[in-house]
Amino acid sequence: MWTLQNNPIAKIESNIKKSTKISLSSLCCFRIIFSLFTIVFSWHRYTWLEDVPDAFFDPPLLSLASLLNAFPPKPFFQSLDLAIGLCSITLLLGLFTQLSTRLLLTMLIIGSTFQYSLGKIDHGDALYLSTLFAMCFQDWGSLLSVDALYKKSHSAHGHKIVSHKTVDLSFLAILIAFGFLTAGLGKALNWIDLDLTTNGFLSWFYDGYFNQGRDRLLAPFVLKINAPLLWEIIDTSAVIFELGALIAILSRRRWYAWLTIACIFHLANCLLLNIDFEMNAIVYLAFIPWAELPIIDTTINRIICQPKQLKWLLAGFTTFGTAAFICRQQLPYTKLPLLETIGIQDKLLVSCGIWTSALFLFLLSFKTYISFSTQPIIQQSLSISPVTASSTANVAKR
Amino acid sequence: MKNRIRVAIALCLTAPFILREISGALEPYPAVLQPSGAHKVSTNSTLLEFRETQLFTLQKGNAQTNGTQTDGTQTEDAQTENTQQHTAKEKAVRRVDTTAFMGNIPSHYWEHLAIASYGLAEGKSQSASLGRWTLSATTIKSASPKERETALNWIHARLSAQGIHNADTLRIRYVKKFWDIEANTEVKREIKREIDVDITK
Repeated sequence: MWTLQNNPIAKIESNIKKSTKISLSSLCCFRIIFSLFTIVFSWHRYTWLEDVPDAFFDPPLLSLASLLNAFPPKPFFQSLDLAIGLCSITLLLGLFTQLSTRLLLTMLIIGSTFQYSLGKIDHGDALYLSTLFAMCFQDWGSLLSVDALYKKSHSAHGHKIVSHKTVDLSFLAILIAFGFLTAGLGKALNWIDLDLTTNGFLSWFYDGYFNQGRDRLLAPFVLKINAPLLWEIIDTSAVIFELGALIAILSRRRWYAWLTIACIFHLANCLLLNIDFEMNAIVYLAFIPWAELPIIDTTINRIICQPKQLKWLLAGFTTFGTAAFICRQQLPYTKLPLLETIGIQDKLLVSCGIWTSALFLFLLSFKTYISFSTQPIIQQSLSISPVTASSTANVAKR
Repeated sequence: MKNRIRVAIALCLTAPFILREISGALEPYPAVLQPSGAHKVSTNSTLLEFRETQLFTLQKGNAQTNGTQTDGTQTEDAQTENTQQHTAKEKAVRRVDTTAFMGNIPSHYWEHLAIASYGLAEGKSQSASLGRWTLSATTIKSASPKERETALNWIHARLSAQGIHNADTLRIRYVKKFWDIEANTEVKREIKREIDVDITK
């Protein structure tokens, strides 16, 4: 009879959990990073759909939109945009965090369902939505949030709770690995042929360079290189990278290395093929041990110890969120509405910046992430004073 | 209980992928799927082949704006020019700025909308056999008279914004472009297919 230890599935699950373990405070920091990223780089808008005629409505057979015969009336999309904006801000503040996460996910799915009713399903934000879905089952609003402040005000009666939990992002890691599997399988069948007279990378490059105006940054240099073997190696590497995620999630070191390589992969895509896919950056950043990075660690400890500072932080977020929201509502539909107000219009360069920053963060925190699994982290919520909590965290680090 | 959750997660992940592999029309949403893009190109040839979709309007009895002027067909090959001039004898042809015509609609939807003749095409469906069952999916929806009217109003409003009034036909032209990599120039163009969509109100 199988016991839990002998069960191979349980063993695999246990390995994935170990590989993807981070502290709860890191996850709460990630909530803030995720919300800021959403507001600055990828605030979804669907109001433009209200001008599209119903004759264009051609939803995927297996989607929510197929239950309808036409696009919803105009006020629907305006309300949807408004609600997405508000939910993103409440998520940043950590106000009703769980509800905000679920509502934001639901509204993005509904909005995208109608957008994809123009005849094509996009996959650019599949992992972004997967992250939100995975966070529906995580308590990422328990620190640095209005929810935490509210709990603390109750704890004034004697129960100040500071969480020093660890959480595992195994579900998110599985979604990422599976997503890449769906991309890599097709390539594995077509690209790995050891035939130097055909190439997959160049197929992407030529179409982009000559047909879609993707001829910027390092793209012109690709044209000058005539090395079929190199292109074949690139094809094979892409397949190994995409399928490798499934193996990488089984080891903490390999998983972190895979995430770092993913940043290099996307940065190379940006520079050589001018394809950004910047939405994936925020997905990978979920695994950064934010709270263990020296600068953030000090700041968090100070904020946790002094609720006044947390209030100032939240007030700052409220001001930023409101200003961004007003900006968004007033500006016409553009790819980077917020950045365009300060004169940044080049989406490709912004994406290069995002991927470079992500790569830098992964390289910076490699040691911290690997050593985190060996630290004696307390696995459940503790009823301790903030000062004790801070010193416990420091001891744990030593 | 745990096993049931595992099976449910595995099904939710793999089923959409299998459906997409059977037929693109069966791809569900939402699903955790990434684009494959597993196409290849021959590295032996220096001549590349690309597709382009162009839009034109045709209008009866207005021969002063003929097909040889602002429609950008001068660069195309003789076959194109002949077709253009032949058409121009009957109707005035004007090139439509596709980017302005589509407005806020992102470019990756343009091709499908063109295939669906901007909502004015006849309905089409695609079937996929799954052993005993056959799944049928609509690939192009057939528009109702009211939807047709709204689509026509939308098309004419977009054309009017480009100074094209009273056009009676929208021509969707699929062009094959041949590009020489070494010379870094386009060497020729061929018209692959043309579809005329009646846009009279």
